Amino acid sequence: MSNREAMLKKLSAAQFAVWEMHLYLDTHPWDLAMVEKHGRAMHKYKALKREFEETFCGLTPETAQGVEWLKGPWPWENEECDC
Amino acid sequence: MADYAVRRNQYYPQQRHAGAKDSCSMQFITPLPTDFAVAMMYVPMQTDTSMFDEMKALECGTLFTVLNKPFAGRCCK
Repeated sequence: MSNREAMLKKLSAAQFAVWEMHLYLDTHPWDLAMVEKHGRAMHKYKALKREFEETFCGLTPETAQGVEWLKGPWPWENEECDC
Repeated sequence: MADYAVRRNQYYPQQRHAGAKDSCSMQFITPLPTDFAVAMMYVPMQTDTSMFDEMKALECGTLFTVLNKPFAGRCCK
């Protein structure tokens, strides 16, 4: 796994954790300990996203110029893809 | 945790759980309402918030250990 892929996976995991806590808080809005954990997880996710974007390229419309995804590789151009 | 009861009543004023009136802690929230009705379906509230580390969570499809339900069935060829 390249450094780029490793960082992207770490970022995905951080984002997933934020979403899971977000979903939990939908049904447990009174759990202030989780509100705090969610805040910390969000901070970590944003830091990782910033790090990735500064190293490689923008990931979302707020940070990408709108042509980043045209540079490739497209999913079917990845050699590791076995689909 | 002072505004625990305020938040709780704000979001779920009608929902009564055992000990919820005079407690300020998650441990008094029961998974099911104490005044349940017969013939109705209930989904138990999650009370355990133990978590996997993030990478393991991504793999399991859930952050919470209590919600990890690996597929235990098998193909019936």
